[in-house]
Amino acid sequence: MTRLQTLWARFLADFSPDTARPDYDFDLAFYGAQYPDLALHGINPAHHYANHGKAEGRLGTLYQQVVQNSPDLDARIAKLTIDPDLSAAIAEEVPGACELAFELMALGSPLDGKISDFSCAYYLEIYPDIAKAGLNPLLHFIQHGISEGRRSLLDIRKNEYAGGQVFDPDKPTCMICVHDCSKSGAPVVGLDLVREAADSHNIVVMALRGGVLLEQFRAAACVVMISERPAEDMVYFAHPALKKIDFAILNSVECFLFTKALVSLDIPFASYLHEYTEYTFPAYKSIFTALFSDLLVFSSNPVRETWGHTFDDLNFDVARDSIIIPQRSLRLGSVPATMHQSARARLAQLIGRDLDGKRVVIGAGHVQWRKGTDLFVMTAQVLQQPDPDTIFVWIGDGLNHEDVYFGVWLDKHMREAGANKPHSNLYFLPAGPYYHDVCRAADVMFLSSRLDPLPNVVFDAMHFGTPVVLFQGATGFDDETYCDQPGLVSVAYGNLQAAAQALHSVPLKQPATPEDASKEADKGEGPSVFAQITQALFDRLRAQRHFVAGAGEYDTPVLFGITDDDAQNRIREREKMWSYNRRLVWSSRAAAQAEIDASDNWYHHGMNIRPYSSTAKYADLPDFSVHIHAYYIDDLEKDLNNYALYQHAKRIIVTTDSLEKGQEISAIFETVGLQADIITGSNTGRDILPFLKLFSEGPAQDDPADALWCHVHQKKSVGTAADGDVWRTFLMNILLGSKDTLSCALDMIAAADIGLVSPFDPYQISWNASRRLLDEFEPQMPGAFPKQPILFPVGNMFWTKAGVVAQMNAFFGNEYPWPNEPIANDGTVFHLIERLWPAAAAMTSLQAVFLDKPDQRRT
Amino acid sequence: MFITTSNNKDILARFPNFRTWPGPFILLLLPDHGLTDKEISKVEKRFVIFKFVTLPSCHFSAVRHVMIHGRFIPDYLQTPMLFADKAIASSVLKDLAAMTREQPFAVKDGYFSDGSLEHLALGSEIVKNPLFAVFFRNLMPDIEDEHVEDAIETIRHHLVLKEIPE
Repeated sequence: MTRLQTLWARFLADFSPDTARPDYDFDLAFYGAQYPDLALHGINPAHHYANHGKAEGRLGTLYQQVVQNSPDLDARIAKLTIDPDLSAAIAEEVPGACELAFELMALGSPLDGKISDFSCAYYLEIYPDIAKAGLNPLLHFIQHGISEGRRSLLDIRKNEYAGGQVFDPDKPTCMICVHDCSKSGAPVVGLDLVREAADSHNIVVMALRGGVLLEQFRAAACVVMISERPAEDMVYFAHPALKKIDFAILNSVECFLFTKALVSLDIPFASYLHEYTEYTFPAYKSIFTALFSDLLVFSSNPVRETWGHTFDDLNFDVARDSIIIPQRSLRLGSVPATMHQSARARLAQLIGRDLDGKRVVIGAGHVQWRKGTDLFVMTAQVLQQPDPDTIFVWIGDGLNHEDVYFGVWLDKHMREAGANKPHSNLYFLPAGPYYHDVCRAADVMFLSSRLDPLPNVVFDAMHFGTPVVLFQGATGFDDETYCDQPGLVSVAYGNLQAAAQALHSVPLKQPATPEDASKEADKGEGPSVFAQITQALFDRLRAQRHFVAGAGEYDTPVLFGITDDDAQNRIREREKMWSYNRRLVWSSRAAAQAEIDASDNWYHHGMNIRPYSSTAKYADLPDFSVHIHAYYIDDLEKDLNNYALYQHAKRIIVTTDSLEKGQEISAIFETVGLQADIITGSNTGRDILPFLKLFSEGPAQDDPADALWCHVHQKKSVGTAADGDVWRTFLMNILLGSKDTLSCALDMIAAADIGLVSPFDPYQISWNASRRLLDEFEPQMPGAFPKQPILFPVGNMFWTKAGVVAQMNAFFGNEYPWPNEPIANDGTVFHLIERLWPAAAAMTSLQAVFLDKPDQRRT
Repeated sequence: MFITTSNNKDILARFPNFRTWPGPFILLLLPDHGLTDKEISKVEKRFVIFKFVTLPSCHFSAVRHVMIHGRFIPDYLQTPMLFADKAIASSVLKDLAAMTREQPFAVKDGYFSDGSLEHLALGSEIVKNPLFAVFFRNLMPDIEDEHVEDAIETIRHHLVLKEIPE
């Protein structure tokens, strides 16, 4: 066997064992397709090629065909090939080497990605146009894609950076994920984790973006990989450590994108979280992190407490599945006299101000609202007159007098406060190499942050013997680990007078004595944060005694897509959340009904789930009305034609927000041969306020309590239009039926004991951000709201009765100050109303029925 | 490791005869388990539970799930393994225990009349083999009863140390 045939056989055995093709330089399938007349005459193509075809110059492989018209084909193949044996054969100009490489690549995934920087699967994934056109991806890339600048695996692999540590297969391997490699809070903590772990573990670092700390990450890791699509790209990185990952640590909620890859690869992981949920948007970052992490590790309890609503929504077991591990110990250190003196001199030179006998107050961090830089300036103003010997110095980047969100207004304030002028008490320095000297020189730090988990600058300041004044309730330093530390002084949140008083009361820094230095040296450190997280993660994994397996009744995606390729991943994501008893997708209708039955909360009284059915009988239908809110009208005509139910409505009322739209709607109804009352009003309250107003001040205000109403709307989800359309069809089909049938919803709402009929949603949607409003409405309710609504008309389309709507209107009264557009994506009173329909039904002693139609696609 | 299904009525017994089997006890709670919440609470104290919300393609597929996702259970794959889909008489259990103790490469399987797996006993050296978990990882998730015997034959072929003929 020749060298090239040996390579061919080896690669096929390793990566493509199903390929029954003995020779790289003859492809039976290709030859048969090229010369179909052979088969017609019963001639064996292999024999024909060996005995005649080759000599006649017939083409035995795709390569032989392509190379005829692509003179630079070999050069391109050589550039793409990465396998060392193949590359050597090409470099030595072994005849047939390029053909071998090409034919191996043409076999597709996974072989192509192993031997080259090209992957058919990846190319088709990122360029669906190629797949749609039915083109050969390898040919397209070589003949067109390269010159068009299309991406290949090279674009992924160039972001794989060799690390300074040698991969040791006998050590456990941990992947540490950071959102970027910038010199900012979470990445700095991530770098500390990597350094702590480097001796005992192989460390793979994966980042969404690079940054100035990249080289430091590389030094401590076996490999660093950067990708903004980690789930899709991870399989294409080549480092051997990637095949051996035992567990992972996601450092920061911003790393939520890694959860998909880790769930798919069944790698257990802990998330080390430093972020308050108040500023973590979109909310799904927190949701996915909490749903899929095996353990959540918080650096302080105040931060964990802000996750409470997310935990409640997901039924996350806080005591079992989360833990507090402080990111480092906080001690008030000291500075030797010589360093103190030189640091003071350097700072004096930097700001051009004599600091003898002055109290230096520093602030540090990026200039922004969150850091409260404006509060720092105002506090300097408070002390300007009574205490001219106190000098305020802020160090940090971000000053930008053209930034209309913050910089413009801060700049004005700084000018009024006389910042950076001779004899001022307020100075600003950009971040720079003098930072530590500023910390050494300072007498006190003022942490003016409004919300800031555990800023590193506090640890730095304390390390250099600088006490810190901060706002209570603004940081993770309220945690019991820290709050009693000497050197931390809390004042009431936002109280600048109190802050100024506290700053004024801090004594000037005294340089360290030799005894102080000796005491510092004696203070040992406990186990590293990495060791603590690892221990806690494996303790948690070993303690798990309840696993859930199986697809369940609803194949509804969370992290993964809806394609068949992702079917097993979708099952896996559900199994993982269910194993931890976390909720986002129902496992079955019975499970949902069981949860309702187990609740004794008033909200769930009379709530039940029933199977969907439809009928084609239109006789003896009860009188009913339909309300359509048509802010968007482009699908209206289609809807009117698609659902037979509209033809049987006693009354159709359409609300919209402009006369022009009203005229268009009128024309649409005329076209389809239906009649509607069209009401134009302001664009307030989305679809639901116009509906409620029909009953409080509109044409339905005299309807009897048992009048039947169907409420739908022409909602569009901007940015998720395709998914939104599927969801809307899901709702409409269950509520209305089809072109030829009527949903059983009409029959049900006509029953005397039913007040609400809506689709059963496979997703378990909770109060979410509406939880913040529950306290306001709870006094009107017969009891406390339940921890979970369990079911409500998700999407806000439903059948109801006039009496239930009257109850909903009663919750708000006639003078409720409805918020105007634009409103938040979640957590407004309109989102709450969606969840209050079962309450309104229960309070009118009527049942809320949810129709289950498992065969109707939801997403 | 003792793996059984909710078809095994001994799981609710106060002193089940399988309690002497070494390693963790694992219960495959099948969708039609018929146990009350109270009974489940009771067995949870003794068993690590794998609750199947969808009927697995066969019991061997359910065992596969345990092998893949139960890897952090203490003493996982450290002891002989016994799978049983029904209560096992004390004498049979005793014999299987002795067999796996004395023959670390033992493989003993039994089937119901419909061809489904009734029991499978494996010696500790088979279970401890690193390729044992790999075998299950590579097994089709939806393997059917008719292929289980072949799969177990693969275990015999690849994971049983054979004497080298002189």
